[in-house]
Amino acid sequence: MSEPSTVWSALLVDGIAPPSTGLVADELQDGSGWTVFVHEDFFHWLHDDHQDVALRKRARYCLTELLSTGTCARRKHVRGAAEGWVRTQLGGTGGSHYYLWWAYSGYPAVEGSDLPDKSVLVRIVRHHDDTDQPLNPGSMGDWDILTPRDIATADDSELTEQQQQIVALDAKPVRIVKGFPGSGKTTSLHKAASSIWGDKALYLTFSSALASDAASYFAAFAAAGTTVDSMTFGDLMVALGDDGSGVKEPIPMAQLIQRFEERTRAFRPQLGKWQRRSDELYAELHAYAFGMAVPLEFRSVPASKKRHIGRDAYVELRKSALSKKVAGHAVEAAKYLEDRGLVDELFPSVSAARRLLDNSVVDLPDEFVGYSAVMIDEVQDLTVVEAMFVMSVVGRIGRQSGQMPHLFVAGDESQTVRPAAFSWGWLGDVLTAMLGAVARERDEITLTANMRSPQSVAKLIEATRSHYKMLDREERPGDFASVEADQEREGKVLYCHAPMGDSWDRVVELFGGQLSAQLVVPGMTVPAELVDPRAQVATADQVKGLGYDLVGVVDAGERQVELLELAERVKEEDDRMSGSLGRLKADQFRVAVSRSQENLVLLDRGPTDLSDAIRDLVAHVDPDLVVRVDVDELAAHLEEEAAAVDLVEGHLSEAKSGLSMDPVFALGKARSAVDLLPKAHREGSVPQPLVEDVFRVAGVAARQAASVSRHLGDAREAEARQAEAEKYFEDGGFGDHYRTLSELNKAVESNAGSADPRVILSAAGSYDGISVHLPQLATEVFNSLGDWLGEVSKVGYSTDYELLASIAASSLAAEVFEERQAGTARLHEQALRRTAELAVDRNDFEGALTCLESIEDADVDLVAQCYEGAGLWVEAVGHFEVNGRPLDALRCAREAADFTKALELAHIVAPEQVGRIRWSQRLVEMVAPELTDRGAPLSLAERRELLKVLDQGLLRATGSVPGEDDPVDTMWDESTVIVPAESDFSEPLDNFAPPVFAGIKSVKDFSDEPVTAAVDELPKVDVDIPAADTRGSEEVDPVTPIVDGFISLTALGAEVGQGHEDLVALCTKLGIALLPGNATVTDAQADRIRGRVARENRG
Amino acid sequence: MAVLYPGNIPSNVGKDAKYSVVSGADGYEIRLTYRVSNRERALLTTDAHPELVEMVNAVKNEVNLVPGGAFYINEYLDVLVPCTDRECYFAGNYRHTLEFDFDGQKVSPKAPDGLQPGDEWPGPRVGIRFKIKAGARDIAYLRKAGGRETEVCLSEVHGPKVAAELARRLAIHKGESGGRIYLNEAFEFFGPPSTPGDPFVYMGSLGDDLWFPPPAVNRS
Repeated sequence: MSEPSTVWSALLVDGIAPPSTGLVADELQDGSGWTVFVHEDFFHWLHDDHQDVALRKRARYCLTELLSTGTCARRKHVRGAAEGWVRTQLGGTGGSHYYLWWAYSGYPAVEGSDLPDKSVLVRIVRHHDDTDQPLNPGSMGDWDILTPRDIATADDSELTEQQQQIVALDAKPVRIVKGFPGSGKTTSLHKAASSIWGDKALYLTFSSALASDAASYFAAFAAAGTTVDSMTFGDLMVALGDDGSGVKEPIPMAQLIQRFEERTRAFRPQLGKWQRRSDELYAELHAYAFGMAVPLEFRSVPASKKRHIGRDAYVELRKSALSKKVAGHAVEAAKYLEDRGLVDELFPSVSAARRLLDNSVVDLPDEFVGYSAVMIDEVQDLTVVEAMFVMSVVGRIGRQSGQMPHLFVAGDESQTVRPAAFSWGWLGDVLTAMLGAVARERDEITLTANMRSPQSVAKLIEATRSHYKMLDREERPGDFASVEADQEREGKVLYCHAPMGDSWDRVVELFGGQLSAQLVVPGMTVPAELVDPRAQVATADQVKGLGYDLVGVVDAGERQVELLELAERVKEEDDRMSGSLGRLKADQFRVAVSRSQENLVLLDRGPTDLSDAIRDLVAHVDPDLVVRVDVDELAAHLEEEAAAVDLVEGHLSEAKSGLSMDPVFALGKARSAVDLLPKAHREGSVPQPLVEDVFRVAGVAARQAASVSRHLGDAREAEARQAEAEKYFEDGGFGDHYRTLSELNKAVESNAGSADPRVILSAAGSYDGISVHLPQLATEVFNSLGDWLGEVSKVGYSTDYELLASIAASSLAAEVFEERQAGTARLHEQALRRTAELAVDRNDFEGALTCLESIEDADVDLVAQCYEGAGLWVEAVGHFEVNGRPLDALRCAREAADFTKALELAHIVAPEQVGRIRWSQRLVEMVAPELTDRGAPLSLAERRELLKVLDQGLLRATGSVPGEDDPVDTMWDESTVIVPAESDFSEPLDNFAPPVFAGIKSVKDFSDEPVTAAVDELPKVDVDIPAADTRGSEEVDPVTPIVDGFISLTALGAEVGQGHEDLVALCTKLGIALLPGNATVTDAQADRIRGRVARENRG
Repeated sequence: MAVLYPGNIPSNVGKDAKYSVVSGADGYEIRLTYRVSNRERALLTTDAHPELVEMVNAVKNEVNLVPGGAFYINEYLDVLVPCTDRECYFAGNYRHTLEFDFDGQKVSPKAPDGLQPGDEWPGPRVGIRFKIKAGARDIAYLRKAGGRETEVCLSEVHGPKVAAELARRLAIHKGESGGRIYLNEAFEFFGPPSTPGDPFVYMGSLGDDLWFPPPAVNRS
């Protein structure tokens, strides 16, 4: 009998119900934390039908950004008379003529206007030149709060027909969204979350910057009542238990390739044509050898037991694209890496996906159950193995939830900067293999409009289609459609030959002075000679998903020539490898040029002007599209140098975008922002919130870059970057928060459980502050505290520190985090319990009690044992009794020498002890003062004799053992006892009532007086509640103001001059709960009412 | 039958952040774990509130099947009883002030005469948690229902101006970053200060400021 498979298959979702139709959401989340106020001037403009439709559409887009993130792109600081405002370009006829004016709270423009923190005021739309008049922000009375609902309704009608198809409530369960760069794929997925598909939805994407953007958007615009979780594919793998290095925090591709080169150096002579093409070989292995090695037969490739596809299957798969020989060399390289255990290190994401796919029938954690929609963005960045893993998650969500989720998948075949060999064809097969019949029910929608690029840039993107036509059919992405560009916006496409040296330096300088400008190399790595902190050149991979007003594509002509040569080799020499390489290079070129939102400069820095090659590229689209300029002319074409404060903001924005994907790149941008601050200060005022943000982001970037250095084994660089981070945090005024975090990390680093609780206490207490001032690091605090709590819940508090300090730390940590992560309080209780158990084991009963006293429902038995162990007999008796353990209680009562309690217990459970205890009690009674203080005194001899007799008697009684037929009880003859008439011990000895161990006593049982007695004693006043029409004090009958000890509301109304109904309404506003009849309030409540009435009377 | 409380449900962790009904020498009584200092706590009890004991135990008996355990009294003087099923029930409205004797001194939810906002809070730490939102522009609490949590803001009830006014007054001693605060049955606000580790500070009384309306429950 064969073992059951551990790999997911579509059979497992057979019969699972399809998703339900979506619903229109009446309310949206509105929870981004940002409040957007709109001035009535702007409000009127926005709703004035005479205003330009395109401008208003763009303004609504800005409002969307403001509501989700508190900022919007393409912003500039106003200089001159209206300094202190920020303006964002809306567009207009013939150029950028109209701007939206707005300001953050804390900015000079809104100083003194009562704009609350974390708010934005949108003031007005003004013409480009209209900056010389100061602008008053107005006050609260002039503003309205904008909600997502206000603009979402209008936005829906602005969706294209294709986008409306994507978000349709009754479409098929699976929707495939295809589209070019800037066609609105991501926007469509975001919009889908504004409908109700169920209680929970999941958004997945490759880039953490996009995941974070999506989370911000959902916080404002997702349907109210729907939780939308946003995570990267890496986050998903970590959530499912794979914590392999480079999974959670992806290592930039360039660094992986660098490491790949180092690791394969010795093997390189055996690589044939790949010998000098490390980056292409890396891409080949990533996409095919490892990326297509899956544990089931797929598209005629047999199941791979190993991480890479077997030799024969691989050659068969790739021979038509590479030739047998070249494919053979590639698979040898894959084998070399796998044999040496290097796959996890060099291909971390693919490896993790394979590990998880190998065990994909295991249930997902509970939090994944109930997702009713799954949105997958940037699907083209997934290899086959990664896509299968992700779809297995979708299948498991369906199976565990009992209903399949809606599935939205968006991507673009021609943007595969990450080598994945993606094609819509194989994705369809993956869907079928993992989801079966459900996946066959799908809509495929192609978006054809270009929302991002102006017409000129869109034409160039269109022209790059010719790259793919030159390639082998197998390497050509399918589903090409024409692009409809934004006709409203203008942009330039320039060609500039700038050889290395003065010309290139001048280009770098020009780009450095432009707002939102980026130089991009259409390759996988930046050539060494271009690594320059001033230039900040990026790869296509690094800028994917981002947009800039000005993009410079470095070596554009050279790349075009290269592509032509590759195409030639494919055609003339049947060099199939060149076709494969050509596809990657074409994609990178396309991604690079499509980053431009306005102007594009195609640059060559080699000795030759290659403008003809570029002209050839665009000839079939628009022969006049590209304007050739020299460096000086380029300067004239670009805008005049931007204000330093705008450049600071631009660099800052880019640093923020790069933080999660490429901290080193982000650090470069952040450094530029920091370096520009002095210049910005010289040019004018720089808003303090901006300055703080610069240092905050620079610190975070330096810290994350230090982590990358450590990962790559460069300890010296890591240390320098760490020191740089500390300096930035200090300069930004976040030194205390950062030190708290550092101490916390240091404390929990080696062994979380042994961390100093004082550090934990301080970090937990600082969490709210860190969340506000260093939000990027708050998760770290959260996780570290969670690690500590988790650890102490298992191993107890460290005995190296004071127990009370640990309890205080644990309690505060749990309290702070309970509202963010339900169940944390349980960890605190578990820690207390575990510490108590361990303390009992080492006979530290006092310690155990300290813990147990802090637990609401501590085990009474354990508590009692601890009291007994600590010698606290009386407390032990009480707890044993409550727990129904009278024998133990009796033992402790006798240790406490509490004869009365012992006798009471012995009567019930140990009658053989009754006699001895009663005997003892009588001895005590015999020496009661009533019997000793009166009468003739004893002689000393009598005293000595009595002491001797008593001592011997007590000695015998202590050692005596009652025989079975000789119960000690019978020794006592009650008739011989003399009981003092007024003794405290006069209760009849045989009149013990059995104690109650079970059942519930009524309150009556605990008191000589009935419970109502106290109430009954209060003066009773019959109150005649006035009828509802009572108005004003003059109509109120005089009543006694005190009723049952409380103030009569009627009398109070008379006192403050309010009718009864008004007073009742006021109580509701003040949060005062009235009892039925609305008759009385307490003294304190009456004081509040009086105060409020007086306040309102004062106006 | 025990009624679930529909308002702000306390989820305080600290033992000193709740009252308890416990079994005493002469029957059930009310206990307060009083934090004398970071290192010292005192167990204070009072048997002067049998009616309150009865209210709490009625719920505890019905849900937990045994009497005794934690409870809270909120600013509406509603008695809230958390039970072992992790729900919080309404036990009734109780209008008498709980006072405890600590070495001859009275410990009460009312701020002692002369106590000023910013002073250390000497009273019980029993209170209902609210949050001053970052920037001190609003006050909010989380309403939990099933698996869903909703943030309820004072600004939604009385408008942003009223909410911001109160939030700012309280934030003077809490810090602009906001954070958790507690309100007790005597309408006193207190909570952890901006510097972690320092004792709780008194933030002032609710006074004549407007507040969240009382939740709709049958208080008869």
